Amino acid sequence: MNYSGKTPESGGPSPAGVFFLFLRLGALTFGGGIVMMGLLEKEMRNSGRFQPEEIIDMMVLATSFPGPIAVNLALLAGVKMAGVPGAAAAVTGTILPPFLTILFLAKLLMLYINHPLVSSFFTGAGCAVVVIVGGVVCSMLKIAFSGGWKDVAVVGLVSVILLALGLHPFIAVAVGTAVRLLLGGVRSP
Amino acid sequence: MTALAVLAAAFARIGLGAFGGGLATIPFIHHELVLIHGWLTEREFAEVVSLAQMTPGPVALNAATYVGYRIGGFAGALVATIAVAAAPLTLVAAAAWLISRASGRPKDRLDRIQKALRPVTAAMVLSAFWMVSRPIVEDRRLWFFTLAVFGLSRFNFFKNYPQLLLLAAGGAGIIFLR
Repeated sequence: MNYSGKTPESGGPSPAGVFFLFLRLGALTFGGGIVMMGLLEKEMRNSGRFQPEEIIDMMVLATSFPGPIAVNLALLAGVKMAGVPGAAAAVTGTILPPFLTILFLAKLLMLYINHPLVSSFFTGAGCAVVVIVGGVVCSMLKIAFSGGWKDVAVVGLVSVILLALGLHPFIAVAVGTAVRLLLGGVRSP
Repeated sequence: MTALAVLAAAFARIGLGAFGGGLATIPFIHHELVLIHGWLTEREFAEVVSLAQMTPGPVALNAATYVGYRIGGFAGALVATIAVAAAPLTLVAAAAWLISRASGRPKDRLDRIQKALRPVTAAMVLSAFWMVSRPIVEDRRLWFFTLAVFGLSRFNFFKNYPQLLLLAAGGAGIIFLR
Protein backbone atom coordinates (compact mmCIF):
# COMPACT_ATOMS: atom_id res chain seq x y z
CA MET A 1 0.00 0.00 0.00
CA ASN A 2 1.34 3.38 -0.90
CA TYR A 3 0.18 6.52 0.88
CA SER A 4 0.01 8.60 -2.28
CA GLY A 5 -1.24 6.00 -4.69
CA LYS A 6 1.87 6.68 -6.77
CA THR A 7 4.75 4.36 -7.47
CA PRO A 8 8.02 5.11 -5.68
CA GLU A 9 9.67 5.94 -9.02
CA SER A 10 7.39 8.91 -9.60
CA GLY A 11 9.30 10.96 -7.03
CA GLY A 12 7.12 10.67 -3.97
CA PRO A 13 3.78 12.04 -2.90
CA SER A 14 2.47 15.52 -3.55
CA PRO A 15 1.80 17.81 -0.58
CA ALA A 16 -1.89 17.03 -1.07
CA GLY A 17 -1.17 13.30 -0.78
CA VAL A 18 0.79 13.94 2.40
CA PHE A 19 -2.08 16.05 3.76
CA PHE A 20 -4.63 13.28 3.29
CA LEU A 21 -2.31 10.63 4.73
CA PHE A 22 -1.90 12.63 7.94
CA LEU A 23 -5.56 13.62 8.00
CA ARG A 24 -6.36 9.91 8.10
CA LEU A 25 -3.73 9.18 10.76
CA GLY A 26 -4.83 12.21 12.79
CA ALA A 27 -8.46 11.13 12.77
CA LEU A 28 -7.70 7.54 13.72
CA THR A 29 -5.15 7.99 16.47
CA PHE A 30 -6.92 8.00 19.77
CA GLY A 31 -4.41 8.06 22.56
CA GLY A 32 -1.87 10.32 20.94
CA GLY A 33 1.55 10.12 19.42
CA ILE A 34 2.78 6.68 20.42
CA VAL A 35 -0.12 5.01 18.62
CA MET A 36 0.40 7.19 15.56
CA MET A 37 4.10 6.34 15.57
CA GLY A 38 3.28 2.67 15.01
CA LEU A 39 0.84 3.40 12.17
CA LEU A 40 3.17 5.87 10.45
CA GLU A 41 6.11 3.52 10.70
CA LYS A 42 4.11 0.85 8.89
CA GLU A 43 3.06 3.32 6.15
CA MET A 44 6.64 4.48 5.63
CA ARG A 45 8.10 0.97 5.56
CA ASN A 46 5.50 -0.18 3.08
CA SER A 47 6.15 2.80 0.82
CA GLY A 48 9.68 1.45 0.30
CA ARG A 49 11.13 4.94 -0.02
CA PHE A 50 12.76 5.11 3.41
CA GLN A 51 15.72 3.37 4.98
CA PRO A 52 14.89 1.66 8.29
CA GLU A 53 17.55 3.82 10.04
CA GLU A 54 15.95 6.95 8.63
CA ILE A 55 12.62 5.98 10.18
CA ILE A 56 14.16 5.14 13.57
CA ASP A 57 16.08 8.44 13.68
CA MET A 58 12.85 10.32 13.02
CA MET A 59 11.10 8.54 15.88
CA VAL A 60 14.00 9.32 18.24
CA LEU A 61 13.97 12.99 17.24
CA ALA A 62 10.20 13.27 17.65
CA THR A 63 10.27 11.83 21.17
CA SER A 64 13.43 13.56 22.45
CA PHE A 65 12.12 17.07 21.96
CA PRO A 66 9.15 18.73 23.61
CA GLY A 67 5.84 18.96 21.82
CA PRO A 68 3.03 16.55 21.12
CA ILE A 69 4.75 13.53 19.55
CA ALA A 70 2.18 13.19 16.77
CA VAL A 71 2.78 16.79 15.64
CA ASN A 72 6.59 16.50 15.82
CA LEU A 73 6.43 13.31 13.84
CA ALA A 74 4.21 14.90 11.19
CA LEU A 75 6.73 17.71 10.69
CA LEU A 76 9.73 15.38 10.35
CA ALA A 77 7.98 12.84 8.12
CA GLY A 78 6.30 15.56 6.04
CA VAL A 79 9.67 17.18 5.24
CA LYS A 80 11.11 13.85 4.10
CA MET A 81 8.08 13.09 1.95
CA ALA A 82 7.55 16.40 0.16
CA GLY A 83 9.83 19.13 1.49
CA VAL A 84 8.63 22.19 3.38
CA PRO A 85 5.16 22.17 1.74
CA GLY A 86 4.93 18.53 2.77
CA ALA A 87 5.74 19.45 6.37
CA ALA A 88 3.08 22.15 6.42
CA ALA A 89 0.56 19.74 4.87
CA ALA A 90 1.41 16.98 7.34
CA VAL A 91 1.15 19.21 10.43
CA THR A 92 -2.15 20.72 9.24
CA GLY A 93 -3.54 17.28 8.45
CA THR A 94 -2.61 15.98 11.90
CA ILE A 95 -4.08 18.91 13.80
CA LEU A 96 -7.30 19.36 11.84
CA PRO A 97 -9.31 16.28 12.96
CA PRO A 98 -8.80 16.77 16.73
CA PHE A 99 -9.30 20.54 16.32
CA LEU A 100 -12.65 20.16 14.56
CA THR A 101 -13.81 17.39 16.92
CA ILE A 102 -13.14 19.42 20.06
CA LEU A 103 -14.53 22.60 18.51
CA PHE A 104 -17.81 20.81 17.83
CA LEU A 105 -17.93 19.21 21.30
CA ALA A 106 -16.89 22.41 23.09
CA LYS A 107 -19.92 24.20 21.69
CA LEU A 108 -22.22 21.44 22.92
CA LEU A 109 -20.51 21.08 26.28
CA MET A 110 -20.67 24.75 27.12
CA LEU A 111 -24.43 24.53 26.77
CA TYR A 112 -24.99 21.28 28.67
CA ILE A 113 -22.08 20.84 31.07
CA ASN A 114 -24.24 21.51 34.12
CA HIS A 115 -26.95 19.10 33.04
CA PRO A 116 -27.02 16.20 35.56
CA LEU A 117 -26.80 13.58 32.78
CA VAL A 118 -23.68 15.17 31.33
CA SER A 119 -21.96 15.65 34.65
CA SER A 120 -22.63 12.08 35.80
CA PHE A 121 -21.32 10.87 32.43
CA PHE A 122 -18.07 12.72 33.10
CA THR A 123 -17.88 11.46 36.67
CA GLY A 124 -18.05 7.91 35.33
CA ALA A 125 -15.62 8.58 32.50
CA GLY A 126 -13.25 10.19 35.00
CA CYS A 127 -13.04 6.87 36.86
CA ALA A 128 -12.02 5.18 33.60
CA VAL A 129 -9.35 7.84 33.04
CA VAL A 130 -7.90 6.98 36.46
CA VAL A 131 -7.84 3.28 35.54
CA ILE A 132 -6.17 3.99 32.17
CA VAL A 133 -3.59 6.43 33.56
CA GLY A 134 -2.92 4.02 36.43
CA GLY A 135 -2.09 1.29 33.91
CA VAL A 136 0.32 3.58 32.07
CA VAL A 137 1.94 4.61 35.38
CA CYS A 138 2.55 0.98 36.30
CA SER A 139 4.23 0.10 33.01
CA MET A 140 6.29 3.32 32.95
CA LEU A 141 7.51 2.83 36.51
CA LYS A 142 8.43 -0.76 35.68
CA ILE A 143 10.56 0.43 32.74
CA ALA A 144 12.08 3.32 34.70
CA PHE A 145 12.90 1.19 37.73
CA SER A 146 14.67 -1.39 35.61
CA GLY A 147 17.40 1.28 35.43
CA GLY A 148 18.20 0.81 39.14
CA TRP A 149 18.27 3.07 42.21
CA LYS A 150 19.32 6.18 40.24
CA ASP A 151 16.08 6.12 38.26
CA VAL A 152 14.06 5.44 41.40
CA ALA A 153 15.70 8.44 43.09
CA VAL A 154 14.90 10.71 40.14
CA VAL A 155 11.25 9.58 40.04
CA GLY A 156 11.04 10.44 43.75
CA LEU A 157 12.76 13.79 43.33
CA VAL A 158 10.58 14.92 40.40
CA SER A 159 7.40 13.80 42.16
CA VAL A 160 8.34 15.79 45.29
CA ILE A 161 9.09 18.92 43.23
CA LEU A 162 5.75 18.63 41.44
CA LEU A 163 3.37 17.44 44.13
CA ALA A 164 4.84 18.48 47.47
CA LEU A 165 6.52 21.75 46.48
CA GLY A 166 4.06 22.63 43.70
CA LEU A 167 6.76 24.21 41.53
CA HIS A 168 6.34 24.73 37.79
CA PRO A 169 6.78 21.44 35.89
CA PHE A 170 9.56 23.04 33.81
CA ILE A 171 11.67 23.17 36.98
CA ALA A 172 10.84 19.55 37.72
CA VAL A 173 11.86 18.42 34.20
CA ALA A 174 15.07 20.46 34.20
CA VAL A 175 16.20 19.39 37.67
CA GLY A 176 15.21 15.76 37.12
CA THR A 177 17.00 15.45 33.77
CA ALA A 178 20.12 17.23 35.06
CA VAL A 179 20.31 15.09 38.19
CA ARG A 180 19.84 11.90 36.16
CA LEU A 181 22.65 12.91 33.78
CA LEU A 182 24.94 13.84 36.71
CA LEU A 183 24.34 10.50 38.45
CA GLY A 184 25.82 8.91 35.34
CA GLY A 185 25.33 5.50 33.82
CA VAL A 186 23.06 6.62 30.98
CA ARG A 187 25.54 5.83 28.19
CA SER A 188 24.31 3.60 25.41
CA PRO A 189 24.79 -0.07 26.24
CA MET B 1 -1.27 41.86 27.04
CA THR B 2 -4.54 41.04 25.42
CA ALA B 3 -6.41 37.92 26.44
CA LEU B 4 -5.41 36.13 23.23
CA ALA B 5 -1.72 36.85 23.82
CA VAL B 6 -1.94 35.49 27.38
CA LEU B 7 -3.68 32.41 26.00
CA ALA B 8 -1.01 31.93 23.33
CA ALA B 9 1.84 32.30 25.84
CA ALA B 10 0.28 29.80 28.27
CA PHE B 11 -0.20 27.20 25.55
CA ALA B 12 3.25 27.81 24.07
CA ARG B 13 4.66 26.94 27.51
CA ILE B 14 2.49 23.80 27.65
CA GLY B 15 3.69 22.79 24.18
CA LEU B 16 7.31 23.29 25.16
CA GLY B 17 6.75 21.19 28.27
CA ALA B 18 5.21 18.25 26.43
CA PHE B 19 8.11 15.85 26.88
CA GLY B 20 7.52 12.17 26.40
CA GLY B 21 3.99 12.03 25.16
CA GLY B 22 0.42 12.80 26.09
CA LEU B 23 -0.07 11.87 29.72
CA ALA B 24 3.27 13.40 30.79
CA THR B 25 1.91 16.76 29.59
CA ILE B 26 -0.92 16.72 32.13
CA PRO B 27 1.08 18.35 34.98
CA PHE B 28 1.92 21.25 32.64
CA ILE B 29 -1.70 21.66 31.59
CA HIS B 30 -2.81 21.52 35.23
CA HIS B 31 -0.21 24.02 36.40
CA GLU B 32 -0.91 26.58 33.66
CA LEU B 33 -4.68 26.30 33.39
CA VAL B 34 -5.76 25.52 36.95
CA LEU B 35 -3.04 26.92 39.22
CA ILE B 36 -1.66 29.95 37.34
CA HIS B 37 -4.58 31.23 35.28
CA GLY B 38 -7.59 29.69 36.97
CA TRP B 39 -9.25 29.07 33.61
CA LEU B 40 -10.45 25.64 34.78
CA THR B 41 -11.62 24.33 38.13
CA GLU B 42 -10.30 20.93 39.29
CA ARG B 43 -13.55 19.35 38.11
CA GLU B 44 -13.43 21.02 34.69
CA PHE B 45 -9.81 19.97 34.37
CA ALA B 46 -10.80 16.33 34.96
CA GLU B 47 -13.53 16.73 32.32
CA VAL B 48 -11.07 18.08 29.77
CA VAL B 49 -8.73 15.13 30.38
CA SER B 50 -11.63 12.69 29.94
CA LEU B 51 -12.74 14.46 26.77
CA ALA B 52 -9.18 14.36 25.40
CA GLN B 53 -8.98 10.62 26.00
CA MET B 54 -12.25 10.01 24.14
CA THR B 55 -11.39 12.06 21.06
CA PRO B 56 -8.54 11.75 18.55
CA GLY B 57 -5.38 13.76 19.04
CA PRO B 58 -2.86 14.48 21.79
CA VAL B 59 -4.23 15.73 25.13
CA ALA B 60 -2.30 19.04 24.94
CA LEU B 61 -3.85 19.81 21.56
CA ASN B 62 -7.36 18.88 22.75
CA ALA B 63 -6.99 21.01 25.88
CA ALA B 64 -5.78 23.95 23.78
CA THR B 65 -8.78 23.83 21.45
CA TYR B 66 -11.27 23.41 24.30
CA VAL B 67 -9.93 26.04 26.68
CA GLY B 68 -9.15 28.42 23.82
CA TYR B 69 -12.74 28.17 22.65
CA ARG B 70 -14.12 28.81 26.12
CA ILE B 71 -11.99 31.89 26.58
CA GLY B 72 -11.95 33.44 23.15
CA GLY B 73 -14.44 31.65 20.91
CA PHE B 74 -13.22 30.38 17.54
CA ALA B 75 -10.28 32.82 17.47
CA GLY B 76 -9.23 31.65 20.93
CA ALA B 77 -9.40 27.99 19.88
CA LEU B 78 -7.32 28.71 16.78
CA VAL B 79 -4.69 30.78 18.62
CA ALA B 80 -4.27 28.28 21.48
CA THR B 81 -4.07 25.29 19.12
CA ILE B 82 -1.48 26.95 16.90
CA ALA B 83 0.56 28.09 19.92
CA VAL B 84 0.68 24.64 21.51
CA ALA B 85 1.95 23.11 18.24
CA ALA B 86 4.11 25.88 16.79
CA ALA B 87 6.30 26.56 19.84
CA PRO B 88 7.79 23.06 20.06
CA LEU B 89 7.80 22.64 16.26
CA THR B 90 10.25 25.54 15.88
CA LEU B 91 12.60 23.72 18.25
CA VAL B 92 12.22 20.40 16.47
CA ALA B 93 12.75 21.99 13.05
CA ALA B 94 15.88 23.76 14.28
CA ALA B 95 17.20 20.58 15.85
CA ALA B 96 16.49 18.51 12.73
CA TRP B 97 18.31 21.08 10.62
CA LEU B 98 21.34 21.19 12.96
CA ILE B 99 21.55 17.42 13.14
CA SER B 100 21.32 17.06 9.36
CA ARG B 101 24.42 19.28 9.09
CA ALA B 102 26.37 17.41 11.77
CA SER B 103 28.03 14.07 11.21
CA GLY B 104 26.86 10.91 12.88
CA ARG B 105 23.36 9.68 13.53
CA PRO B 106 21.02 11.62 15.80
CA LYS B 107 20.19 8.40 17.62
CA ASP B 108 23.67 8.27 19.14
CA ARG B 109 23.51 11.88 20.27
CA LEU B 110 20.03 11.74 21.73
CA ASP B 111 20.29 8.35 23.41
CA ARG B 112 21.61 9.77 26.69
CA ILE B 113 18.96 12.46 26.90
CA GLN B 114 16.24 9.91 26.17
CA LYS B 115 17.48 7.65 28.93
CA ALA B 116 17.74 10.54 31.39
CA LEU B 117 14.21 11.65 30.51
CA ARG B 118 12.74 8.22 31.17
CA PRO B 119 12.40 8.48 34.99
CA VAL B 120 11.36 12.13 34.62
CA THR B 121 8.51 11.18 32.28
CA ALA B 122 7.49 8.36 34.61
CA ALA B 123 7.27 10.85 37.49
CA MET B 124 5.22 13.24 35.35
CA VAL B 125 2.70 10.49 34.58
CA LEU B 126 2.68 9.52 38.26
CA SER B 127 1.79 13.13 39.13
CA ALA B 128 -0.86 13.12 36.41
CA PHE B 129 -2.30 10.00 38.04
CA TRP B 130 -2.45 11.80 41.39
CA MET B 131 -4.15 14.82 39.78
CA VAL B 132 -6.88 12.82 38.04
CA SER B 133 -7.51 10.49 40.98
CA ARG B 134 -7.92 13.19 43.64
CA PRO B 135 -11.66 13.76 43.00
CA ILE B 136 -12.25 10.01 43.30
CA VAL B 137 -10.30 9.64 46.54
CA GLU B 138 -12.60 12.21 48.10
CA ASP B 139 -15.84 10.43 47.14
CA ARG B 140 -16.24 6.96 48.66
CA ARG B 141 -19.11 6.11 46.29
CA LEU B 142 -16.62 6.28 43.40
CA TRP B 143 -14.17 3.79 44.92
CA PHE B 144 -16.36 0.80 44.09
CA PHE B 145 -17.28 2.23 40.72
CA THR B 146 -13.60 2.65 39.83
CA LEU B 147 -12.88 -0.89 41.00
CA ALA B 148 -15.64 -2.17 38.69
CA VAL B 149 -14.17 -0.18 35.77
CA PHE B 150 -10.78 -1.66 36.58
CA GLY B 151 -12.36 -5.10 36.31
CA LEU B 152 -13.78 -4.19 32.88
CA SER B 153 -10.38 -2.87 31.77
CA ARG B 154 -8.88 -6.35 32.16
CA PHE B 155 -10.91 -7.60 29.19
CA ASN B 156 -8.90 -7.68 25.98
CA PHE B 157 -11.65 -5.84 24.14
CA PHE B 158 -11.24 -2.78 26.34
CA LYS B 159 -7.46 -3.10 26.32
CA ASN B 160 -7.57 -2.66 22.55
CA TYR B 161 -10.15 0.15 22.56
CA PRO B 162 -9.58 2.22 25.72
CA GLN B 163 -11.82 5.01 24.43
CA LEU B 164 -14.75 2.55 24.50
CA LEU B 165 -13.94 1.87 28.16
CA LEU B 166 -14.37 5.60 28.76
CA LEU B 167 -17.70 5.66 26.96
CA ALA B 168 -18.90 2.56 28.83
CA ALA B 169 -17.85 4.04 32.17
CA GLY B 170 -19.56 7.31 31.27
CA GLY B 171 -22.74 5.43 30.35
CA ALA B 172 -22.62 3.49 33.59
CA GLY B 173 -22.06 6.79 35.37
CA ILE B 174 -25.34 8.11 33.98
CA ILE B 175 -27.12 5.08 35.39
CA PHE B 176 -25.37 4.64 38.75
CA LEU B 177 -23.85 7.98 39.73
CA ARG B 178 -26.75 10.40 39.59
